[in-house]
Amino acid sequence: MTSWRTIRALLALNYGISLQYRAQGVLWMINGTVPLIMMLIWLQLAKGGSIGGYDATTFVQYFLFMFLARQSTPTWVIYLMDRGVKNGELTPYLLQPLHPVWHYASQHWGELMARLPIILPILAVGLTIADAWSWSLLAHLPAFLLGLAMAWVINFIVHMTVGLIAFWSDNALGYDTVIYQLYIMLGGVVIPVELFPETMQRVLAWTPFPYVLDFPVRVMIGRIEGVDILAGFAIQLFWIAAIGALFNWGWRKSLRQYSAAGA
Amino acid sequence: MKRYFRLIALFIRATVQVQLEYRSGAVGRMIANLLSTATTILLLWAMFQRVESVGGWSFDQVLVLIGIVTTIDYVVEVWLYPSLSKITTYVQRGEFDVLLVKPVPSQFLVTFRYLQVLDIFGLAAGLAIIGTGMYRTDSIEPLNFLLLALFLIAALVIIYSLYLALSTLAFWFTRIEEVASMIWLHSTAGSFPVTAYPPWARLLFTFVLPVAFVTNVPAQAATGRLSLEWGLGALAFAAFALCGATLLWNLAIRNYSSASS
Repeated sequence: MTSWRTIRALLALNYGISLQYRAQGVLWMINGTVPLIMMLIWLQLAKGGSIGGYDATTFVQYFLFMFLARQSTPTWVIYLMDRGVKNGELTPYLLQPLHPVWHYASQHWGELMARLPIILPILAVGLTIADAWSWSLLAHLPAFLLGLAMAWVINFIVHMTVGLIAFWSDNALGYDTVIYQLYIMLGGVVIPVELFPETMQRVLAWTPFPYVLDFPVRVMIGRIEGVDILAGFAIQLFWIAAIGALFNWGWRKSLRQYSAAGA
Repeated sequence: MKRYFRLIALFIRATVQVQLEYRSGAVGRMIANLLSTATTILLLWAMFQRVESVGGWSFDQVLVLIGIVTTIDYVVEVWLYPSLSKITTYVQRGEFDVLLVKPVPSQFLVTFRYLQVLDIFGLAAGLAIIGTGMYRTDSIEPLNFLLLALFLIAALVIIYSLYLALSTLAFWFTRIEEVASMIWLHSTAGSFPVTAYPPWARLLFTFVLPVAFVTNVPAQAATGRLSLEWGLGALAFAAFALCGATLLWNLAIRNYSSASS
C-alpha cells in the first residue's frame, strides 16, 4: 500500500519544481482563460435579456467557476507518458515499489498548489466586480469540492488511458489534442451544457464530458439541487470505476510489451 | 534571392523526409483535426440556436471566420510551431552557436528550417469552410478572393512576428516552452468577431493580441464587408510588427553569449 509519507514527499518535490519554472506556468495558465473569454461574449449576448434561463449574473458565476474547474483539472500526463516511454524515463519508476501513477498525479497536484494563489484572487475579483457573489453560494461549496475532486480523477484516468497509446504508437501526443478539444467544447467551457439543444444534451449525458466540468460548476452556482446532486455523484463514481478498470487492464497489457529504451 | 528559395526547398525536403519516417501519426492527426473542426461548427450552430447574431455577425459570416482560424492554425501547426518552438531548445542546449556561424542570416534559418508541409488536410478543411461561408453569403467574387489572399498574408506576418518576438524571449528566460500557448489563444479569441466583446476587450484584441487584424479583417475581406480604415490598419500593423520582431531578434543575438561560456 502506498504510504501517505511517500505521497507527501513527492508532493513537496513537485511543488518546488512548479515554483521554479513560474514563467512557464503563467503562460500555461493563459491557455486556461477560454472560460473568461466566453464569459465576455455571453455577457454581451445576455444584454438583450436572459438566454435559456441564464442571465448576466448566472453567466458570470458559471464561467468564473468554470475557470476555476478548468484550471484545477489540466492534465499533461499523456505528454509525460509519451516522454517516459520514448526516453526510457519510465524504467526507474517501474523499479520503485510505487505505482508510476503516483508520480504523475503528484506532479499535477504540485502544479495545482502553485497555481491556486493566482486562480483564487482572479475568481474573487471577478465575482466582486460583476457583483455576482452571494454568501448563500457558500452552502454549495462542500458538494462542489467533492464533485471537482471526482472530476479531477475522471479527467486524469481518461488521460492516463489514452496515454497508454504511447506504448503502442509514437504519436500519443496527437490524441492529447483530441481529448483537450472534446473537453473544452463539450464540457461546457464554450457554451453552458444547459444551453445546448435538447438532442445534444441527451447524447452528451451518455458521455463523461458533462461530468468533468459542467456538473461541479452547476452544483456550485445552485443550478443542480437535492437528489440530482447525488445522482451526479453516482454517475461520476460509475465513470471512475469503468474507466479505471479499463486503464488497469490496458496498463498491464501495455507493460508486458514495453521494452525499456536502451535495454 | 534565388539562393534562399533553393535553401527553403532543401529544408522542406529534409523535413518531409523526417516526417515520412513517422507516418503512423498522420491518420491520427487527420482524425483529430476533422473532429475538432466538426465540433467547432457544431458548437457555433448550437450557439446560434440561442441567439440570432453575435456581435452583429450572422452564422454564415462567423463560419467564414472559423474557416480563417482553421487555415491560420494549419499554417502555425505545420510551419511556425515546428520552426520557432525550436529556438528555446537551441538556446538551452547551446546549439545556437552552430546556427550563428552559418553563412545565412540566423532569422532566416530559424524561420524556415522546419516546414512540415505534408498534412495538407488542415489547409483543405479551412479553405472549404471559408468557401462554404462565402457561398452562403453570396460573396463569391474575384475581388473578394484577392483581398482575402492579401489579408491572410498580412495575418500570417502578424502571427509570425508575435511568435518570433515571444520565442526571442527565450534568450532571457531560458525555459519558455509554453510560449506557443499565447499563440493558440488567438484561435479561441479570434473565433468571434471583436464586436462581440465589451469595448475594453475590443481594444485588447485589436492592439495587444491583434485577433481583429488576424482573423476579423480577412473574414470581412472575404465577405466584401471590409472598410478602408481596417484594411490599412491591418497592413500597417503587419509592417510594424515585422520590423519590431526583427529588431528584437537582432538585439537578442547581439547580447547572446553562448550557453557554455
